[in-house]
Amino acid sequence: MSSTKSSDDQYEQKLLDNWEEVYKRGQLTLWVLLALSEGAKNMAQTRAWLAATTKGTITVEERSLYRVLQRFHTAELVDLESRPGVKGPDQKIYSLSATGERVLATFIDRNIALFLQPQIQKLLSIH
Amino acid sequence: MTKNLKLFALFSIGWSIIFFSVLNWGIVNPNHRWPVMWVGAFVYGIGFSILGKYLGKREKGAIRHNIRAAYVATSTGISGIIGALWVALFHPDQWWQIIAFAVIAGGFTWHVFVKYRNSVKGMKGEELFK
Repeated sequence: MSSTKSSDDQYEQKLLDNWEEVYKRGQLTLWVLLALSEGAKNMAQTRAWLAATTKGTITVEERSLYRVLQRFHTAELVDLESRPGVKGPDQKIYSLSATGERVLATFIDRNIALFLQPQIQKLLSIH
Repeated sequence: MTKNLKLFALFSIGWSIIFFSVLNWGIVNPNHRWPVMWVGAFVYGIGFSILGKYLGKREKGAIRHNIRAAYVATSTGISGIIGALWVALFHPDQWWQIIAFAVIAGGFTWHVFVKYRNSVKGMKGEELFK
């Protein structure tokens, strides 16, 4: 009986791990753009914001985040500004561009606002 | 059209005129007809490729859809137009070759357009938002 329970737990954990892995990968864009919508940040601040706000659910390595921000900069979602560093080299400060703001707002309206509907809120609260 | 793309278009016009002149000269001479055709076509293509890469790299991100598609469409379109004009002006009896130019240039440009139509600055959606 307990071995069946343990097997079920392991199986469910595996399902969850796989689901979460795919889900988190798709979430990174939204969280990065949300971080920058709060205000301009350098990479370390963006990483710290992601970890703190998502309670450690969304974590990203420095190199990966750098690549993401570079791609978003190329795509005009993010503006990049170099500011003189206090001791070392120049700091790269990322902020949401006007295009990024509009794209994020439309994305939220189309995809995230759905979760704010009372019937969906009710379903989410049941679980 | 960006500054580099305009330069590339100008180069494409000059390069195509040179290519068709060489081809015109070589093709009537049975001694070196085939070497001129093959080597000429190879050098013609390589010239586009090298200059396109050089100019395109220097304005990466300047074109919102796909820089590669823009350069390919420019070179293919100009090459097709110059080729068709060449036939119309110097070999009007072989007018049917214009259709071949139109089919090749149009088909290739359409292929590139379909391949890259959804790209953002040369990136596919999965690559940009992965």
